Amino acid sequence: MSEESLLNISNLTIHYHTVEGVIKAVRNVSLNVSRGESLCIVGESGSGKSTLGLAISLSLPRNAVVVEGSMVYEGVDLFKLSPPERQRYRGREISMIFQDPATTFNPLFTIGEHLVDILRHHFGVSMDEAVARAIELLRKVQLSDQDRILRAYPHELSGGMLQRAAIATALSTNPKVLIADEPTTMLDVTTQSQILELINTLKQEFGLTLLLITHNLGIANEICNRTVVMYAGALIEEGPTDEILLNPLHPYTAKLIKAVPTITKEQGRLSYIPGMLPDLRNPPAGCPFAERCEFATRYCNSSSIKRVQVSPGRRVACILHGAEA
Amino acid sequence: MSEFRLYFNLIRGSPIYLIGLLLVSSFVIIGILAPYILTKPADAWGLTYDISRRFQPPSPEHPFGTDEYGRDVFNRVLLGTRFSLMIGVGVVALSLAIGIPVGLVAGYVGGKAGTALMRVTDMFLAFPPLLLAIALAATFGRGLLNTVLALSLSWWPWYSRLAYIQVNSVKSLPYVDAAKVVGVSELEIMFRHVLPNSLTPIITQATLDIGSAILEASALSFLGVGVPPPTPEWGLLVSSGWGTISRAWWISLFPGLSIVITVLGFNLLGDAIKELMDPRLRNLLSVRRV
Amino acid sequence: MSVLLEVRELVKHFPIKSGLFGRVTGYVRAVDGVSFKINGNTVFSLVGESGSGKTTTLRCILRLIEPTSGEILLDGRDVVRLKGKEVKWFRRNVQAVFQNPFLSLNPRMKVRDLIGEPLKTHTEMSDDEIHRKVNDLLAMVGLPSAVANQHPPSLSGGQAQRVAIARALSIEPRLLLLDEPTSALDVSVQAQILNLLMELKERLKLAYVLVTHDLSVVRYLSDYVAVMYLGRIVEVGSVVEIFNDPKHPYTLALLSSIPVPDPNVKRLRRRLTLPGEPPSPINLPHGCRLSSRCPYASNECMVKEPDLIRVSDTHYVRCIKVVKG
Repeated sequence: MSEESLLNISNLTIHYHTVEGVIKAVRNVSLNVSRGESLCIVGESGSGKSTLGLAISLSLPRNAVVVEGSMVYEGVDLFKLSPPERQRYRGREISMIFQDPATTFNPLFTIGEHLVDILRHHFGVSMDEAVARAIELLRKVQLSDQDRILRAYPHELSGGMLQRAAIATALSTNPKVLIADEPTTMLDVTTQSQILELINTLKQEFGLTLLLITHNLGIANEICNRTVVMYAGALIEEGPTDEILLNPLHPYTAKLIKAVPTITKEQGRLSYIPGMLPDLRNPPAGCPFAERCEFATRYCNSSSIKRVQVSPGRRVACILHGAEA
Repeated sequence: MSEFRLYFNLIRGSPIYLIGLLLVSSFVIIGILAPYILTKPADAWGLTYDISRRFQPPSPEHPFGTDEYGRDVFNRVLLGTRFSLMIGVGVVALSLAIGIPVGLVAGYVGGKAGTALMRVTDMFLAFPPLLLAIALAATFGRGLLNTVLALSLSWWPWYSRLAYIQVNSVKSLPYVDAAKVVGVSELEIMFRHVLPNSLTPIITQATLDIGSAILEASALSFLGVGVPPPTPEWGLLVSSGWGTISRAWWISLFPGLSIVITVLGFNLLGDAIKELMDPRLRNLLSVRRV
Repeated sequence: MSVLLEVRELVKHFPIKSGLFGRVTGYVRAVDGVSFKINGNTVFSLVGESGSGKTTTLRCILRLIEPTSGEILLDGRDVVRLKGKEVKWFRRNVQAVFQNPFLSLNPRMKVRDLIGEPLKTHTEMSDDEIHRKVNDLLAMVGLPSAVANQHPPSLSGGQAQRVAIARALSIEPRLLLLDEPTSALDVSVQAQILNLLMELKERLKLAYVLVTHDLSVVRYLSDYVAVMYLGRIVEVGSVVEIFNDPKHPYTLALLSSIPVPDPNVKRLRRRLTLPGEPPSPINLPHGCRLSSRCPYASNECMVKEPDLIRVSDTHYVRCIKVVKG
């Protein structure tokens, strides 16, 4: 396993400054992304998965502060760059699509205006050339009737079509990394499966590195060969998706998998996770899951728990599996 | 409750908003305490007449000087704060008392009755409010109560519009459906579920309008259709010094400044509250909930 | 067991008005002839994607909107034509839980008053009795009595949905309509609510009508399932029949588009992906409503819309291909 590392995040900590206090959304996250892989970031609300996605795509909101950590992309620490230098990466090397595709577009401009504008600005091509490329992009995301789509305003398209258009926009600059934050959560299931299939196809065609952020373990299973699990801002488990789903090591991951009702078999009572997410303004020093965990010992609450490798590519932050307390 | 603390934190963070809050709160405090902190109550109430002291410029004895009857302008302005507060609160309260029920019924009941109510509202809205107030005040005659009445009658349609819009958006929220499913009567839904949830923006707007109400009341008094002398109403005080402004500028200047500062205070506070209502900031506040 | 609720040929068309004088230029055929029956203490699910008419059906049953035609019978009495006291009788027997508890609970009322409101409306109980009953109801849904003095916004999503359930059950209805009851909740919380609903159904002998797009929730809770597409039921049957032996191409497509979090399954063996998106409910296709997207469609399908065809006593399907194999 000597895959080339494309993106290396280490000890990343991100805080949001809000009027309600400082929210420690991402804490001490380290993650290595290989070129061409498809990696899922799985977590529930408040896990910090979306914040991590925004950080990687260099589009954190203004009230977010990178407190600590580095993000090395092809040898360059992106957090050390000046804002104009960062612009060269944002949306060009690293692109992002969102749960609500409407956020990609300004409602006052047509899909075509968006695409042509980006293409002309990025590649310096002529108007005709840009239009030709835009049509080609729409064809690649399997939108038929490209001329009509180019002239359409965002609100004139259905959710599924708009997400396809958003993908076309995200790919217009030939990025190397595509971050998809819950890209199908707002869509119907039959549309969802179309979009997931499309993302998979495009990943191959464009040679993308895909980071898929989702709460849906089924999507992780279908799309990604590797998965990381986040809880309350911490990255608690990492490994091949199949192994995580079949043999989860962290108690949280195990509980989460058992809590999902499935269509494939009849189930008795579902297992669930008692208690609530810790207050992210004042997260516990030790394992964030300790207070809801049936296996918790007094060591879990003490100091911060490091992730340890249990097998090649498989890491977990839990003292049950030998993580240092 | 926590929302108030939150507002407070935001206001505390910005010096301009803090000035607004300070100006408004000192206006309210002085307005309430005015009769008890006067140094020359008889001057303030306009009961004295001392020709030997007339037209004295500001001095330690008379910080704002004296007027054409030899009364202490400082004391008159101080007491004027109370009248301005009374008029401002009175106008807004009375306007709300008319505007909210009209908007609530028109918005919730809708149909022909609702349309009719809103047409009446629109008729009032067609007049410039100050012109309407002047006309009404002239008809009613001078007096504190008449001034409040005249201003309120020109103002309520704005609140009725605002209430109508609010009620219309609140009545389609799921908790109104949920109340219907429970079997709660329409009247109870209107008063228990729709009205309380429509009020916040209306009350906020109304509080800020106190500043404009004071300004308009002063305008009426200045034009001679508002409060009658010798009430120390600010507009009236400005007007009383108007004829002698070249000789004794202080008679008009200090009450004028009081109006400007008070209105400024309400506007600054208004900006703060508008920023708090900004949906982008709302999102920021809800980060915790995600 | 006797029939509790029967829906007969329910139709709801929303007029589309345009121009200055609101001239009716067409109709959205949201619900277009839906019939089904529910016995006591069973769970019947209406499942479909957006635009299927499932929510409109639910709103008609709840008397929130008036159907264009058709009958809704509770204990054999037509719900649509009830007046005065009879409406109260209906409300006592039929209650509902909605998708987002933060929107379906008045944020300015205390939990105690929210749960007490139906009791005040429908019973002669004294304030003391209501006070005690509210505490009992909170205990029933697994909440501490201290919650009674809080307002909904200070609760977690799971707690708030429990309050909504306690409120709906306070007057002991026999039928509970569930409108996407867990779609706004996190997976681990969803499991708690689903368990609670299952438990309460057994304990209180309740019947549920569940409206959702989430087939895994349907599988977990339901006894019978009706699959809706563009205002029509296309297949109805017991949960085993629908999930193990789907007959309608749309049902199959719906089932096979759900990502399953089990690496050994990945997806159902029989797979069907539908191209495109549902057509507009204003201009419905001729013949079978799925014919424009169905890979099995023949000329016959484009001409006449099939009736429901019997597969078993409980299993019916609206597709001619089933009969012909």
